[in-house]
Formats: sequence, structure tokens, C-alpha cells
Amino acid sequence: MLVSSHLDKIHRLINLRSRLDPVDDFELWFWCSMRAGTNAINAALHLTGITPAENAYPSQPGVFYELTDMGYVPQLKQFGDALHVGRPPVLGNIPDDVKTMMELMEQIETYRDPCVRGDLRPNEKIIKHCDELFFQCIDQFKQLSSGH
Amino acid sequence: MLAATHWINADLHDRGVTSVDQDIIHTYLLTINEYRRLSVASKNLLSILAEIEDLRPLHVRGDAPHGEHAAARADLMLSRIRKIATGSFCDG
Repeated sequence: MLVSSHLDKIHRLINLRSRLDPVDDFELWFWCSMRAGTNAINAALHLTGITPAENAYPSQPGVFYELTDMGYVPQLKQFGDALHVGRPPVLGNIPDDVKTMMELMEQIETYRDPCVRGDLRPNEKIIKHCDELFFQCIDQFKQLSSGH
Repeated sequence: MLAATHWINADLHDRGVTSVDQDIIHTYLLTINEYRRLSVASKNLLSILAEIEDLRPLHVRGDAPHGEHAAARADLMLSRIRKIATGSFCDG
């Protein structure tokens, strides 16, 4: 997506996240964190010239939907927005601040399978950790984006 | 999508089609063979779930217009999945 669209999603997801209870609504709260963070990483990769900012939306690694005269059509395409950190792996000389954001998101995503798909009840420690990692990622993005 | 997937997994486990350590994560992560097997067992549930999953590129990962229509469609399909899944097991 374009950077402006990533920014819009980040703001709306953070807004929604702030209205959710991290205990009672953990799955949605966590999903908002994950999607907002991934949007921030994709925006950061666009701003630093690693991946293209364009109207192309990932379906699966190597497949993107692009707007054509016939509507949105899936196309084979190698580079673009990542679905999750590492999916697909991003090639290129990734700046250290973006790498930091990716590492923070990878840590958040370690809670996805056990707590969202699985039945591990997220306790206060897990919620606090996710929250801290998320805001570290977003703060890193704010610093990066202010310089671009 | 996640709620729908949980409904389907609960239904398949309850009917003994899959074991509790064999949760579906996404329909497109299944082998073709397994997708076909589960489609026979699951009364159209997988195809309805796939329709929800297919909304994501344009409206979750993308900024295509008419997201509100996609949301309404997803809600309708979630309701269908819930009705089909709960028709085959009792919840407590």
C-alpha cells in the first residue's frame, strides 16, 4: 500500500486497540497490535526504499492484488508489503531501526499461536510484555518517519 | 475469520474428523488432499471460511473501497458457519 494508507490503518487500529480490554478482548487487542505493527514495518520499509509503496495488496508470498481495468486482479510479484515479519523475508540492506521494529514484532508474534489460536490464557505479564513491545515498535516508527 | 476457524475446528474435533492437535489455521495452508477430505466432512464450512479469508487482501491488508460491504459479508458468513457448526454439536 501507499505510506499514507499504512498510516491511516495504524491510526485506526491504535484507536480501536485503545477501546478494547486487553484481558476480556485479548484476541482482538492482540490482533490490532499485530496489524498496526506490521503496517508500521511496511511503511518503514517503503520510506527507507527497501520495498515499493504502491497500490498492491498481498494475498500470499509472491501474489499481490493490483487494480486493473478489470478490477482487482491477483498478479505474480516478488516484492511488496509483507504479510507478517519474515513472510516473505525482506531482501536488501535493511536499516538498523527497521530491523529493530521487525525484531520487536517477531517477539509479539510468538504469543499468537499459544494465546490466540491455542488455549493459553494470557496473564498480566504477557499482556504487559505485548504492550511494551508494541509501543517500542510504534515509537521507533515515529522516530524513523519524522526523518522522512 | 479467527472466530469462524475456531467454530470449524470445534466442529471437526467433535465429530472425530480431526484430532485436537490438528487445528486448521487457514484453508490455504492445507494440502489439497486434506482440503478435499475436510470439504467432504465439513458441509461447505471450508469454502465459506475461504470466502472470508479472501476478503483480507483487499480490505485488511489493502485499502480497497467498500470495506463496510466486506465487513457485512464476513459477518454473514460467520453466522452461517456458526449455525452449521453448532448444528452438529451441543455446547455444554
